[in-house]
Amino acid sequence: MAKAVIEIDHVAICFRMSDDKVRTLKEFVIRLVTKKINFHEFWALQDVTFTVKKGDVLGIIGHNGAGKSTLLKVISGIMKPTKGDVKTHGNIVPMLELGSGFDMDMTGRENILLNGAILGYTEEFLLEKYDEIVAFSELGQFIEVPLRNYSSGMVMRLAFSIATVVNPEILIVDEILAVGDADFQEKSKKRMKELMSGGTTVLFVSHSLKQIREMCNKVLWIEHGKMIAFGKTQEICDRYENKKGVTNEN
Amino acid sequence: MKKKHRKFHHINFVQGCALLLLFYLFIAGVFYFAAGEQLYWRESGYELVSLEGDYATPELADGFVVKQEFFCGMDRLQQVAVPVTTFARKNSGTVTMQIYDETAGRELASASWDMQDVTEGQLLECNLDDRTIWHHTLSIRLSSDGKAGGAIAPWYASTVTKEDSRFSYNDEPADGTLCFFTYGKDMIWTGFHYFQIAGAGFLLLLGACCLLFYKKKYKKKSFLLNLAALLRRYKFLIKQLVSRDFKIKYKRSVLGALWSFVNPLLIMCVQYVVFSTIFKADIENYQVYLLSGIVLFNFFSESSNVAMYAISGNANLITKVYMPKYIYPVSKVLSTCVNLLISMLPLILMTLATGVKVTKAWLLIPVDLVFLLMFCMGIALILSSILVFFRDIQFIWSVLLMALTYATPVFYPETILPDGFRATLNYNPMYQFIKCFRIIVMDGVSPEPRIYLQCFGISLLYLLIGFFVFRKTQDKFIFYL
Repeated sequence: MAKAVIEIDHVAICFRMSDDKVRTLKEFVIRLVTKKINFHEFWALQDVTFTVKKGDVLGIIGHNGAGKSTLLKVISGIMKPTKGDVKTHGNIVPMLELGSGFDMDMTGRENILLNGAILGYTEEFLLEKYDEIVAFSELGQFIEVPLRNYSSGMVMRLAFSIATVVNPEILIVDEILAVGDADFQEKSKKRMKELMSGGTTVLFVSHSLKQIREMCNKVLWIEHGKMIAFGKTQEICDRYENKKGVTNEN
Repeated sequence: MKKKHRKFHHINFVQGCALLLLFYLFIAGVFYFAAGEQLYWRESGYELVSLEGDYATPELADGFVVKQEFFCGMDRLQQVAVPVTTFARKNSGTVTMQIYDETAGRELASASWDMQDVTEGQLLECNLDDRTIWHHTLSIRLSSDGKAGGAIAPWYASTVTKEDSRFSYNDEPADGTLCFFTYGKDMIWTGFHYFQIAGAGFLLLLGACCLLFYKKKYKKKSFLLNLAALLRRYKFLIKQLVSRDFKIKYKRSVLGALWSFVNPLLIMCVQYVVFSTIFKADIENYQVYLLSGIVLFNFFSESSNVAMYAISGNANLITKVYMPKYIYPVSKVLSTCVNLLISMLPLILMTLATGVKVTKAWLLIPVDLVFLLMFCMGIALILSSILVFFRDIQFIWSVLLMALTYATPVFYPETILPDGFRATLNYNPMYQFIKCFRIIVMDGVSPEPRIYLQCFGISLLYLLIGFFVFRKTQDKFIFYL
């Protein structure tokens, strides 16, 4: 059997939210004195337990605010769970949203190094793969131009090329598969499939059931921070669709 | 495949330790060489209250001898100086000053002046070539071969008598105390025990290396090992972030990085024009005094202002990618540090242009800068983590920074501060770093060891506070960004 790459064990995340965020000292002091600081607890995730094996492509579905992104943050180590335990084996590469790791004033070349470093690649590796990244992004001579002059499609192509050059053990994709024009979308889909067949574990959040059915072999369904179901793509997607149908009728 | 790449420049643990120990020995050696004399002696803290003379003694004529015995709590005496009056007339003959060690019963030094050349109010200075006196009772003996009506006389304070001093005319006790100044040095034990201290440091370091080796071998957790691993892993990222910040700062400006060079010079010019008429008389080499203060203080204010936003400004990355959050403020401070190093250049050029000689003590400049860097890191860690929770800190800090600018003698001499306020300088970290720097560059000597210790203590304290504040709060950042 394939080795477990991600083990999520009874994970819960609790946000302690004051009714509105107290960000200034004055406000804080006033509230403290008048004893109006009342936090209410909000459980973004509750008792989530599942295991992802090497090579799995896990789709995560659920309505807006269900806790999908929070779950990804817990897995990638950005958030620490309030309860429970997360174990991951292997390096995690998140596919960043458009431009988060980029500096718009720097050229494509500088951004490849910067973004690569942010994703945890080594210098030698990046220099070795530099040509490959440029070739895949189809940017050509634009690589020496500051990013502020790129079209948004070009930026996304560059981001995708950097994120997928590495064959990460765990790749996290948060709804950015539709990148660039139709040709590049085709190419990137192919690259994703390549990665998956190469043993990369992919965590994939999307609202498009079509994409999920196409790419994933397992699906996790969460709603209001709670696990509804975890299992084979076909089965869960059908249930999800039926449920949606029911709620829509109501 | 990736694993292979990660171990590209791999120095193993033992080599790393050996390098560290060698580096330590090198630094200890250079420090000993550069600090030199100042490790052994410092300007004496023993102060004889200098008296305002209100009368002159009878003139030193026809074998009249003025003698002042006093206790001198110094280890080494360099100079004794006595102010004299000529009675506004032409005098002739030779005046002689002799310094005796009364406790040991021997003469220490003597000097003579032709009274024709002595001017009104002149200080007669008798040099003792660093004679060691070990807290003895000394005496000053003044006499001359001049004739009555043609000799000079020293000043004395007629109403002051002190327990440990005796004033006499021709060995007859008299009231009052002679006006005189002494300059001397005290011994410091650091110099005489330097090799023991350095050796102890070496052994400590060696012990730490062995402990780490043991922990590594048995796979135990160790904070230092983790730190080393993190540094190795994120070295490239820090490099990229620093170079990004540095490039972005001057991108789209015509002069580019040259601004780091020109900017402090221009600020200095402005402040020089504004303040030089007020303070120039009080400060030797005002340009260098001003520029060194500006460069160091600018580094502090810039790094704290930039690093304060290190966490909140990188919110989009922090919520997306995992990496140790320390990296953000640390890289900001480091990129400002590049600016500091560039600004050092005009400072050094200006110093040379004003005729200050380069001495071996200049090797100690990096020591001061490292302390300053540690201090700024600490402040950056504190501010960046506070800003996430309380945005008010940015406004509070701008006021605090301005207060500190005026509280630190950057463009004015510390002597203009009223006594009560001058005491606060001891608690002003920036003042310590700037003072240390000025002693090295302007006086060309190392500050006394106590000052290094102070600077090191301050910087370590702030760094540790910063580290703990940051570590305590970092897991909560994500909820407030």
